[in-house]
Amino acid sequence: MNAIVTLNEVVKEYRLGSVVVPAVRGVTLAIDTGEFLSIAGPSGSGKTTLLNLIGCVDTATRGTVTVDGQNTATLSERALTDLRLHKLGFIFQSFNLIGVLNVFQNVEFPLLLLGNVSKVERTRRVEKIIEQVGLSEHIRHRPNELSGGQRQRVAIARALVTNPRIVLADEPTANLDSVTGDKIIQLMKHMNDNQDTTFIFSTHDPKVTRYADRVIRLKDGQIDDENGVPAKPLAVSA
Amino acid sequence: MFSVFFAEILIKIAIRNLFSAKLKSLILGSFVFAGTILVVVGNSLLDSIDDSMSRSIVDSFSGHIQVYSDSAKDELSLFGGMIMGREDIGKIDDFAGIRNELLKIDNVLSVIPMGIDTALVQKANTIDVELAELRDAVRTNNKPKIQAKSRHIRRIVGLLEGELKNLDNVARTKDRQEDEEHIRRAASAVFWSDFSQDPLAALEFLENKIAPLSLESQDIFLRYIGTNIEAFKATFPLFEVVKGNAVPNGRRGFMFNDFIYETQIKHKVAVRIDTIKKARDEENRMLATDEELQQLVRQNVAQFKEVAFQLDDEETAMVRQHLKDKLNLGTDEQEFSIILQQFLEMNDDNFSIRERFFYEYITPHLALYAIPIGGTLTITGLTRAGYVRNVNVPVYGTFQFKSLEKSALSGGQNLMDMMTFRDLYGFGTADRVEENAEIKKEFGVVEVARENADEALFGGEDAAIVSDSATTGFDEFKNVDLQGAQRYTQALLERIYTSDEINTGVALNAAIMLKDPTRLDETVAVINRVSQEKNLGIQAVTWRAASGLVGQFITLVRAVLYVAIFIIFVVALVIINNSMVMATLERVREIGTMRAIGAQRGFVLWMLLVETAAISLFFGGVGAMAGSGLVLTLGQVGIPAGADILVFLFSGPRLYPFLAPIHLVIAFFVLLGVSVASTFYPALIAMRVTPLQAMQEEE
Ligand SMILES: Nc1ncnc2c1ncn2[C@@H]1O[C@H](COP(=O)(O)OP(=O)(O)OP(=O)(O)O)[C@@H](O)[C@H]1O
Ligand SMILES: [Mg+2]
Repeated sequence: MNAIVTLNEVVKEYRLGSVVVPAVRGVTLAIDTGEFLSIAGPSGSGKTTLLNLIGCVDTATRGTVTVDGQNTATLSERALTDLRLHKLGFIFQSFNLIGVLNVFQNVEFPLLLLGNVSKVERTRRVEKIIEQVGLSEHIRHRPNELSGGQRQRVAIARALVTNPRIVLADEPTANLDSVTGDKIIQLMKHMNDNQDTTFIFSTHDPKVTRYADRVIRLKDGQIDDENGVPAKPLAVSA
Repeated sequence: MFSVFFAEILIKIAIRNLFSAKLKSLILGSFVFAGTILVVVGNSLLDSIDDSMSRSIVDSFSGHIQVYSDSAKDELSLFGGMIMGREDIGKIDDFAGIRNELLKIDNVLSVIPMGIDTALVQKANTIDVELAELRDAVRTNNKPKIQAKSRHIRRIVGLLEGELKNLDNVARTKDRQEDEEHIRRAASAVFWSDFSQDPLAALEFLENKIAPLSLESQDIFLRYIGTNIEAFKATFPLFEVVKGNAVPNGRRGFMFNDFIYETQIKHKVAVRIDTIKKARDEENRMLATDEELQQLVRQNVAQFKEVAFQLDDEETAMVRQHLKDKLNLGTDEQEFSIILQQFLEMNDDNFSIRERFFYEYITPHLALYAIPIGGTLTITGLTRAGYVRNVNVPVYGTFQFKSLEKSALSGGQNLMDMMTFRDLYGFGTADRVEENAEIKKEFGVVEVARENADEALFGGEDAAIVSDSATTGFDEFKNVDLQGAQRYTQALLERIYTSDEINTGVALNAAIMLKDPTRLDETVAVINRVSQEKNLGIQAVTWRAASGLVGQFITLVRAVLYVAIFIIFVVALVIINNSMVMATLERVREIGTMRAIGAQRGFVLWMLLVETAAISLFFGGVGAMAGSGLVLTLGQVGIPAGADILVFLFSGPRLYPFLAPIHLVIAFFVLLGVSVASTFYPALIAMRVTPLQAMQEEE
């Protein structure tokens, strides 16, 4: 299987005045297409940072990050945005729906950004995905009329509507109760099973990680080999 | 990059945002709304006023273009300049020649000669008039008339004496004491019983010692336009005769502006009563509450003599009887002056009745106008050479500029024929000088040697000369036979001048009417070029430039309006800017999310632009419609000219504003500018938002 994402000796340092805070310290990793991958680790271990690097919303201090064959360090801000739009989907911890738009419009938003999807096609795709996440009855509701779990479903629908290669989710269940959180992970897993979209999500909830095909454990910005569960062998091509 | 899909989502988000923050949108909107109304209504009003005011000026006496000498020291100022005294605008020596040249220019319709100046006019006071008549009666030995006139004069002196008793002893100066002695003497029975023994000596005493004390100075300054009255009438559509007639074609003559006639020539007590009546009827003011009107009543009471002096014994008795019969005022024992003062002490309850009484029973005995129509006006002018000169000119009537009658600005000008103007100014042509001299000879007027070299230079001859002028430096007719001078005057006044004769000679400036007024600036340029090429020695200016401050008025008001609009929109800009910045800061997560999902920076910029534009265009559109509606409604109903100055600006009692599409276009661009400018800074902030900020926890 081809690696959709590779990280090679990736280092990310934050600079707070004169102090350098290393958030990720030399991570080498390959993620295959269609994987359902969990990134686990204690608070401050660098999960979010790693996801941001993969998600092209941040760039590495050193090392290379390749997404769908493209070295993100070589891309312009505009090209990165384009890459996000076409190849990636995001699910946020706090859902991040656009408050003034209803469920349908929120899900439609990325399709409109694509700029080349006809209205008919948009409607078809939006309605289909909303049905898949089970929100057809709430299609005209605004986010503030929905529960947390429902909102996160909308977010999942929005992330998937463009058929991205990778969906990134940073602690998608952190703001949900455990039952709902479980359902959300199951939904993501279900979507992952049906399509060949790669899912990468972070969590520090051990219950959630069990749905993962593979769990990468981070500790102090590095992969914790001892506690790591390399469900698949790390085939890193340098 | 920008596609219909974008437009769709942008508008969707913008409208959603606007509706989700209704209060904010409304506040922003109301600024834009108010600003737009101001732009549309303000501009419409100003353009309409500019239009109507230009009609007021152009069609009353300025014409579209004014020409005057290019060697003028001062700028031509039709309404009087800023300089105290006389402006020196030079002169056009050969008006007829200039006129011919100007008429060759294709857009020039007509050229009217003018000379604007100010002259002193003496309004004879009652005692002067009565003394003159008494002297006449003495000369012709008309006994009954001597009786009547001396009784009237004795009555006036009696009134003066009565006033003395009220005077404060402390304030008496030496001069005053002398004056008092004179009055006592004139009021004494002895003086009048001795009158017939040496009437001429007695008359001299009255004329020199008493007449000057009788009333305040009666000199007035009149601003007049010397012109070809026939051409003037035909050229200026606003001209209309009010009282009497226009000066007959080709004759010498004078026409008062009716406004001047009613305010300065009319009997002062009557003017005050008129003013009170107008204030009560038209402005709903009350004597009881209005300090200004009360002041007028007090003045009338204090100056009751203005009425009393003009009534002789018989008339006094009649008025006294009427006051008693009709108004139940006064008893037989009371002095007439007390009763008259009581009568003039008017209040809101009795004003209307007394006003009618005044005009019905008192004014028929008064000289209601100091210079009656049909009478002769004596004008004292100053020639360019500084020589004082008097002319007599008959008053044919009064005129006004249609619908501007209430306006002091256009009411300031009187009209005089060109011939008299030239004589008064010392600009007679050689032909005329000779002609006048011949008429003089014919009527036995003896020429007196001239000492004044300037006078010889200008070759000026007095047209209709007052024989008994007391003016210093004016001794020409000391030795002249009075009857001859009168006949000479008569002959001059009967002389009918042809249009050619009137046009030949000096004018100070000239008004030009155009066939196509829209080509004003172009024609001014053409005239100036032609003058250069042909050495005509004239310069042309637009009516606006020639009207001085009056012409600049609209420009000033427009500047004020634009400053007001500017301030409103700067405030709007700051407020829109601030609230957009706030809104942007509130929406950092949302914008970050959009950026993470794949929205480019340009999208974020457009999103904000569309939001402001939506507000601006919506409220601006509503404002523009409201403004247009207001202007159109006003265009139907008209705006009443409350103050007299407005009558002039509105060119009539009401202004009917019109709407020009350009005002809407201006409003549109102003709005566009404001929305773009106010989005600039928030957009900068918004575009710096990174996708990372989407991930930040909500606090
Ligand atoms: N923008 C930043 N500036 C400075 N330091 C940062 C920044 N973002 C993260 N860090 C630091 O980098 C380290 C890794 O942070 P990161 O947010 O990736 O951890 P995490 O595993 O996501 O933690 P949590 O489970 O609490 O979300 C931490 O020590 C954090 O303080
Ligand atoms: Mg994190």
